[in-house]
Amino acid sequence: MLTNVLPSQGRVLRTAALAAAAVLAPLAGPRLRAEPAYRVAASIQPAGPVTDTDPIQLVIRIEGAEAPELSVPRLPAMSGFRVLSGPSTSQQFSWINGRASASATLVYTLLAEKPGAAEIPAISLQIGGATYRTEPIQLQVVKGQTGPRSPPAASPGRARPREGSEPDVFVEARLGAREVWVGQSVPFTVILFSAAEITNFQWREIPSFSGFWTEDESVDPNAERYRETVDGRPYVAYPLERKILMPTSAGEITIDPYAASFQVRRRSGDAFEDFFSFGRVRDVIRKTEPVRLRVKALPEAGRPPSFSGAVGSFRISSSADRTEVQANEAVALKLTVQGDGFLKSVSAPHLDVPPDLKVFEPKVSESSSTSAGKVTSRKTWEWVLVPLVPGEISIPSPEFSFFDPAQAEYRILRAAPLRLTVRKADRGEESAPVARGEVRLKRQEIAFIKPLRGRLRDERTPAHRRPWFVAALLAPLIWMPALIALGRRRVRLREDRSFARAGRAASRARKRLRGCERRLSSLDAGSFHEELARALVDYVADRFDRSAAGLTYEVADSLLESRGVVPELRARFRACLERCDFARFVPESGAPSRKAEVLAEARALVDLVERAL
Amino acid sequence: MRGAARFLSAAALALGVWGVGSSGARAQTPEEIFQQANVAYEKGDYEGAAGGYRRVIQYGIVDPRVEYNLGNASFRLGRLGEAVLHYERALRLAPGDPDVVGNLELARSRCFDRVEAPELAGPIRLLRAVQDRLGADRQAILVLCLVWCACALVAWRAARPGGFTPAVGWVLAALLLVTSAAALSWVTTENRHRGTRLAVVLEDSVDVLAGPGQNNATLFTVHEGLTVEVRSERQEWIQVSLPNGLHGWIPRDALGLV
Repeated sequence: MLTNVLPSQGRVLRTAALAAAAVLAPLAGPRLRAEPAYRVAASIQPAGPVTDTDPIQLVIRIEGAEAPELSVPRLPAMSGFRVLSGPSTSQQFSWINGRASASATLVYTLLAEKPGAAEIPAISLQIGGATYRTEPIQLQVVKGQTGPRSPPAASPGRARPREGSEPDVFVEARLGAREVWVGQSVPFTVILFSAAEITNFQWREIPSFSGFWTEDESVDPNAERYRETVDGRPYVAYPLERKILMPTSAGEITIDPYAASFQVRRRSGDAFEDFFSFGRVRDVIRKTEPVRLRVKALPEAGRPPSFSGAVGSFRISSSADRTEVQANEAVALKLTVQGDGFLKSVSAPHLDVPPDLKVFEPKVSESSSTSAGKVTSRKTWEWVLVPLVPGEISIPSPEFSFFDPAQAEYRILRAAPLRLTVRKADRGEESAPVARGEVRLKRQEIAFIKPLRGRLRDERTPAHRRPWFVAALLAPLIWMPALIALGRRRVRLREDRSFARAGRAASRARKRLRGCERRLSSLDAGSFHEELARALVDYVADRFDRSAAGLTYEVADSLLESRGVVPELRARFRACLERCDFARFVPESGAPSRKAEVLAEARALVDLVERAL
Repeated sequence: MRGAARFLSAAALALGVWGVGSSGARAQTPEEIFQQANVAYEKGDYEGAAGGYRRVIQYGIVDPRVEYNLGNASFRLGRLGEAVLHYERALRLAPGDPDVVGNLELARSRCFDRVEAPELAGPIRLLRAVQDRLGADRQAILVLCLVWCACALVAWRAARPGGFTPAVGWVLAALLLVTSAAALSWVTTENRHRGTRLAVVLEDSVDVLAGPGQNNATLFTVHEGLTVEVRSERQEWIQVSLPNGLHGWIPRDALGLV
């Protein structure tokens, strides 16, 4: 029997094996070449229960008469498993009693994500142009070791490997308190407990710490290791992570588990092997248990207005770089708050200064450090104050308040007030903002109430939604054409003489007729009717820009006809003229009533003709 | 609708006053109540003055003088939040009024919260100051006058033969440009003033939560007199934002809408 194991990385050996197979294959005769099919199977190693902390190996084995031309398969999506590494491949060729056989193996390292039922689905492989599928594998994942290894009788529900096969190592997350206030700092530590030698440590999962502000504390696992007995077993404890957490909201907050992978070297029991480090090495993954923290909301009762979120224990101090200054010289007022707790979110205290002082925005400096599971913060606000007038000025120290979780109550701190002695500026400083003799405001005060003048108005509706505004906005559409027409008419009246004469004809005729009316009784019948006839003839002459001299009734009639005046009106117009002529020469027809009748007729005719033209 | 509402409220108040004063005392006009409130203020009876101004407002009167005087009475009574609220309302009605602006600034200076708004560029700050000083209504009337001037110029020149000379064309173009700029300024001012809903914190200290409900996390705390912008409303909660970009939800009872 010839057996030759080829590691996947040994490309040269693999090529040699394939060449050997190619040489020896013809010797197997036609029967071997007629069986190109392969047997493909997937299995899980090691056998036994699968935990969510121990990696398992998914082994895909391909067996056939010829060495398979295998392409690395793409694993299907596996819910419940995470691929840690792989695939590693190996091939094997054997020749037994003139019969050749070959096999290839693909190995993936997987880790179950959580306890419960899980399935590795069917995996497709392409071998020499044909597709092969493995059978799905059903698994039951049990909870792995997250704490110290318990005695066999203490964990009946958990499948345990036999004593000695499970490395005695676990990772634990510890919180300094189970119940805190919002904003209160709480230490958090992750510790690795091991009773064996550990190498190749690597974090696999780190929680996000949502709902917390965090401050990391530097930690050296080897330097800070210590011995601790857990459940009666001695362990070496390595602090891996140390943080200070500050919850930002009330409620129940869960910190997700950490997961770490490492190798554990186990003693074989053979002194020779142990001496030469031939002990077996095992890949191990360990998770911490989720940690729950109950966060209480800060009490509403007794909360001072100056409170801006500081929780812990603080003290306050204030100082000024000098207490005696000249007017318009700057003074730096420094206020420092320091103590145990976070101060990052705390805003500047309100500085209530008298109006004689000009205050600039404060400069803020902040520092924090963590040690022994506590965060120590220091925050300093530095205001620049410029006194404007000489005299004694007292500046009350700003108020700072915080919540003391130990006493569960708010505390208010005030530093000593600052007294400033402000001297007059030197002669060289006389260009100061406050001039000599200037009248200054002693105190800022609100302006007086407004008296009632007129009626109270409803000014809720904006101007553009009031009717008058809309009407005024649309008015140009009306007055613009009218203005243009009027302007053009005035220009024509000024520049076109005949148009102007025609335009004024009616008014002139009416004016003359009014003159006739005024002299109705004083004029004799002849003069009255002559004046009346002249007014009508002159009207036609003006209207048609003709000379009144020589304008006979026939010409007047034809002019009116030329502009489309209806025959009835023309006849009436001529009849009126002829009636005037008749009355001039027949005095008895000039009775006042007759004269008024003719005058009314003449007026009516001017209006009618004007309208007809 | 508003007119009808105002009439109904006035009628109801008048009936109420008539009913209470059964001795036949006639109903007081809003002007009389306002005068009485002013007298009470001058005598130092700020509570009585505030009550009088509130009665005037119940008549449906929306007058900047009433809001301003009520702001003064609230300030004297130490109700900083109410004072800021009524000064803000007065400023909406009478933008640029120096008394309102001054008193509002003084009231804000007494407030606890200091919120830094993003710094605007110099020209924009100047433009906004001019716009606020004029107010949207005055700008609307200015636009109306400019439109009338442009139309009159067009009508005047159109009535004359050969009236549109190049010089007139330039003048007309300049006039239209100025009118357009004024109209744009008016619209932006209108949108800024009436499109932005403001509210003022009325309680000493209010937690601003991440959502509309007491079970949400507290994001930050605001104090009486702080003016915030209303972003949305949901039943008994109002989502507000601060000039520095912070935003969250506050119970409706803790705010007064401007």
